[in-house]
Amino acid sequence: MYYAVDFVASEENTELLNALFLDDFEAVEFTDNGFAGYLTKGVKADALLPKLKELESALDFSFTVRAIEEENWNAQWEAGFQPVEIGDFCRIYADFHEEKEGFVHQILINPKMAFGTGHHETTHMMIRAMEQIPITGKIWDFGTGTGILAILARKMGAPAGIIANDIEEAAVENSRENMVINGVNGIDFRLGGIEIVQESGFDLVLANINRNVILSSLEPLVKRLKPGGQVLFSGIMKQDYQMVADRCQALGLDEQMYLELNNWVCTLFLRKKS
Amino acid sequence: MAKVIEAFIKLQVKGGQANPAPPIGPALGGKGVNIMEFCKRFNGRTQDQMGKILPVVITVYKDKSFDFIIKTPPAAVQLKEAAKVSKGSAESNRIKVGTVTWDQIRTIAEGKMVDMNAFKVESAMKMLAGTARSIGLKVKGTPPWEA
Repeated sequence: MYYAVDFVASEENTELLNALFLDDFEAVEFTDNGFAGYLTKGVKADALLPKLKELESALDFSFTVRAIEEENWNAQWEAGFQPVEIGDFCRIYADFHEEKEGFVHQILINPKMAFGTGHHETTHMMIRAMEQIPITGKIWDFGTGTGILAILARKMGAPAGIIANDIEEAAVENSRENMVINGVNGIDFRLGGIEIVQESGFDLVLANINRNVILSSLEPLVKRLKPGGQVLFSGIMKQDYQMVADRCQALGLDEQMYLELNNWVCTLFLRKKS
Repeated sequence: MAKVIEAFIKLQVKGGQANPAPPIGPALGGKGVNIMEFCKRFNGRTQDQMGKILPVVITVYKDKSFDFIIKTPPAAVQLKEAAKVSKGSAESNRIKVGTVTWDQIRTIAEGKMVDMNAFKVESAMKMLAGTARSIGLKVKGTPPWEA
């Protein structure tokens, strides 16, 4: 459950109230007649009530507290998204799309608020890169989202035992559902960050996340790669590429592949054997 | 042909931390926009401002595509940064937590003029001084127009 405080106030008082409650709300939405302040998941507005009531007697505004039930807010987009075709290598579609022949792999994704449908450049390039490298041995999908890359890896012949983790509960639930509807198995989906994966000796790590997570996880991630193992990064913006590449090289990784699409970069590094 | 605008959504979100929770989820999802796509793009563009409160204006088009403009942080955030304090005062009338100078206020006002309902920098400075006091910051010195 989420809680929000809806404020009805003039423009001037909206600015003032926003300043006064700046540290209290996780995020804010401005409306035609004031604004709504949203609290962190599960946190009620009770602690703010004394401050709100005191201010209400001094300033001209009114407020109401609203509870918001969690739901799939992405349902409207998900109900109408277009299939994604990556050459003739891979097609990503939902269960309401018609089947289409002519692709090496087809992946059925019902995303339900998880990231990874192939629409975004970062996932698109991961799939293009996966087409060009051996997908075998011990594989870890770091930040799995819908599970799309782990599922593709299994469809490409990767052995069972792929580990895939995500910090979002909705993503882990969704990735498990997507595994089932694609008729594959052998993927161990886990809820948590890098700490949830203590195994090492990976042949391939798929890391479609973002610059900050990549940089903060780089050292433990490299230690979990076996010598000669590879890591495929995506979610890096072009202007951040050099920073990531320099850190990778400092940790003994050699760049093997570089892809670029609309200001996003996908890059493959290999851990040197000695 | 220009795209037809369906709505403007005005939010205040922490840099690098956009997620599908409210308000982003309901606000964008209700317009048929792909929430995850927005979060990925917003977080990518704001990863150097991790955790900083940033106003963002999202334009949603009829075809469900969108773009967005990230504005400068709210005045209160900039004032706290100028005063080098992390939090405002819970009792701003009684307890002052820091100090800002009129020079600092002028700098912030000049950067915020485009977003503020003020035509002259002095008017913007007066508004900002009021905001500073309301969050428990002292404004040091004499206003330049009185000096």
